[in-house]
Amino acid sequence: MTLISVEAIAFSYGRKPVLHDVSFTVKKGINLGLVGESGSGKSTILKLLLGLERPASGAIRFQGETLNLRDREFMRRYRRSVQAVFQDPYSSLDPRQTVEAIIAEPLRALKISGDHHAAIVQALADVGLPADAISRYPHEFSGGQRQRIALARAIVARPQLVLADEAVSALDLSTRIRIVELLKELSQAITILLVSHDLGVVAALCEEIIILEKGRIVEAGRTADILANPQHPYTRKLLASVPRMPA
Amino acid sequence: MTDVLETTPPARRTSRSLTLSVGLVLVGLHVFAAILTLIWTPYEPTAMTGGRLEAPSLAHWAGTDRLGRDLFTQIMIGSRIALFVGAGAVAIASLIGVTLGVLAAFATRTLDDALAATFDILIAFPTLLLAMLVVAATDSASLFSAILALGIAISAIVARLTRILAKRVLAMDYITAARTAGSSWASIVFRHVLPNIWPTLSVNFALQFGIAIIAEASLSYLGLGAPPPNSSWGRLLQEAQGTVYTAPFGAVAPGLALVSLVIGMNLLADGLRDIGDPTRRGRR
Amino acid sequence: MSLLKIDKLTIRAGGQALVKDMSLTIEPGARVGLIGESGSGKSLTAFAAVGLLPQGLEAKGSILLDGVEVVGAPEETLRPLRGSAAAFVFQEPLTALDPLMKIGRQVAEPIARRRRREGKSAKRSEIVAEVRHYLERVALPDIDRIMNSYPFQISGGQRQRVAIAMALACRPKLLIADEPTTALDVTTQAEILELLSTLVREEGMALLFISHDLPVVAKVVEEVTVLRRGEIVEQGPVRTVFGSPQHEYTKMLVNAAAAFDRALGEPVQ
Repeated sequence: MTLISVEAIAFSYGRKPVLHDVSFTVKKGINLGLVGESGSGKSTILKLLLGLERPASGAIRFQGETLNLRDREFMRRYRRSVQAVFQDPYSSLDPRQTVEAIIAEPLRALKISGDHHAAIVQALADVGLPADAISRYPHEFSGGQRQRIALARAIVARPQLVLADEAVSALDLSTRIRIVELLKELSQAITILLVSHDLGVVAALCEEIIILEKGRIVEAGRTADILANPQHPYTRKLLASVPRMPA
Repeated sequence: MTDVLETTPPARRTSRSLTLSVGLVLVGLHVFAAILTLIWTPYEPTAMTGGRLEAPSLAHWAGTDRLGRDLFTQIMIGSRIALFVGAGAVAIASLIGVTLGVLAAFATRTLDDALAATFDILIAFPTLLLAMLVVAATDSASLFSAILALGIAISAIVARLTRILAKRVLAMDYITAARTAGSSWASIVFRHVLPNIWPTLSVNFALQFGIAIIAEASLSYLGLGAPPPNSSWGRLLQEAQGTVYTAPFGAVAPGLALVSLVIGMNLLADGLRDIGDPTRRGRR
Repeated sequence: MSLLKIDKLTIRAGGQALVKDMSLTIEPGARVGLIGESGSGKSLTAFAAVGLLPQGLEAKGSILLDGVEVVGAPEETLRPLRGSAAAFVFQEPLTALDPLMKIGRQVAEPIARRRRREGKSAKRSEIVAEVRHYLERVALPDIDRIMNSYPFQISGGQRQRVAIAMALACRPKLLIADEPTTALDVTTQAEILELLSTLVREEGMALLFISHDLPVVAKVVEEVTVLRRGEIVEQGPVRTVFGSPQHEYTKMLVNAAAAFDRALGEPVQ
């Protein structure tokens, strides 16, 4: 089932085009990796999907409906289904809010009814944090724990899709592997779209992959196929550049 | 590397709390005196209770003025006026300044530039000139006109600071996170922006409080402040000017009062920084 | 004589030890990796090696850099060592370069300094010739344009090449590279790693390569030291440490790196 379909979108900052004719679909239950280097346009695609910018042309459809930032009722439904996690767990959590207030934000903002406290405790449990974290502040946690808090905020409203922007890139290796494990676990119920420059992480988490270069999709398909048999020269170069462990 | 550099050395913490205590004591004394004047003063403020220009004594702790009125009584009343002026000016300034500053931070490029330019022009405009204009506009030199003029002058400073601080907060990922979580702009302002700029802003408020008191003293000194009998310290200084060689205490006493309150405010401002900031309350 | 001999180094901030009892030796021409996660003290150790500890930190033990004791040494002793004995390349090439100075002038500074030290002339034409030489050394294209550019006008990879050229221009015996590719794209990283390896070999410098990234470290060094919370947990040749790690922590790191590596499948030729 298609969750989101991106149809021939283009975008530019001023006169500088950053995306050309980009189309892809996000399917329910299939984690998708968006891979590219700086200038590839991957962050711009994310901004468009997050509803922070409007495409210059083309359309983004969510369950058949075109994304319309002005339609508040639609955006509320969209945001309820699509939440986000960001790269830097130090700047993505408000230092002045308790963990409870941070995780409660989507519930409150989207006017979701029900027992918020119970939902927050459940979300904390889902990301592997103790319930007593609820009254503490972000600075009392390590980078990995903060990213878990950010994940709890993303899943507390039980969205269908989580957009993860380099969500593990700022973490230490030992933490990174555990957060990727956690994301894998969560993705049994929630689809994840991971935007990353790190092929290893994408390979470990995503069934499908899109390779971007200078605002264009150069290759897309099943991750295993593309890694084993890259077609486009850029994909080959990218793969060859990844440092490998000595045999 | 960074986490090493960010830890506050213990020595600095102690000096912070000392700063806060001294500030609290100094400001507290003035607040106490100000409240006390509402129910009791050593003498009637307008009563001629002693000889002219008497030196400080047990009966008159700060001496008397050239009409024989008790100076200590007048200084106590001066505390009340100073606090009133400071609080009033800062209240006006924060209301106007924070609103405009946040507005500018959220505004489109053109509006933001226009607002920023306005703040800069207002800051460059001399406070005294502004005060004279307000006095002329309200047609009377009163405490109210002084507070209004100071409030407007300071609001530009507050607005500029608010704009810069708010812009910095708006660039943080947690604002994007709030937007993608579905939060409205109003909710972002009240739940994220204001709480995060508040510590720096409140320190600045305390500083501006002190500046307002000094500015009001200057206005009174020039005769643009509160008229007698509710004399501010500036007016007392002005009256003592002619007799500063024969009875120096008439100028020294209100001067000391003024300096102690302004220093107290500054120390308080410095010490306040830590309060309300969960990241500085010490780690568990 | 060893080029760098760190012996039982302890670095404290107040009562807290950030680096504990750490020993590390680098022979001339050797390539050594310092692996650690955030808070491991890997960067601190490197700064301590040239006597550049942040204020409030206190080093104990001994650091012999090119035969000179660094711990407790006065600035006058340390200054001549920096550059000639050891030069740095940092993680973020944008902040490591002066944003308001053109690249040509920026690279000329360490060259002029070195020439003064060597008692050579500071003639402009000779310095400019050397600037060009070093920019060529780091394989920068279009050198005339780059010399006339400000840091923000060139790419991140090019900036890091400039930073390397500046370090190289000091003709150091030891090059200390602190996460030099972490801020770069993967394809740029591969180029910079290649460049560093070549330069170190050709110039006969020793290399201290600091990183959290195991496969990256493996690409450029022969020996590694693994740090955890300021303490050495394992030391040895790369193949031994990565191939059969002994300490639990090293095992965990190697397993994590291997998991991502495995996910990528067989390396494509």
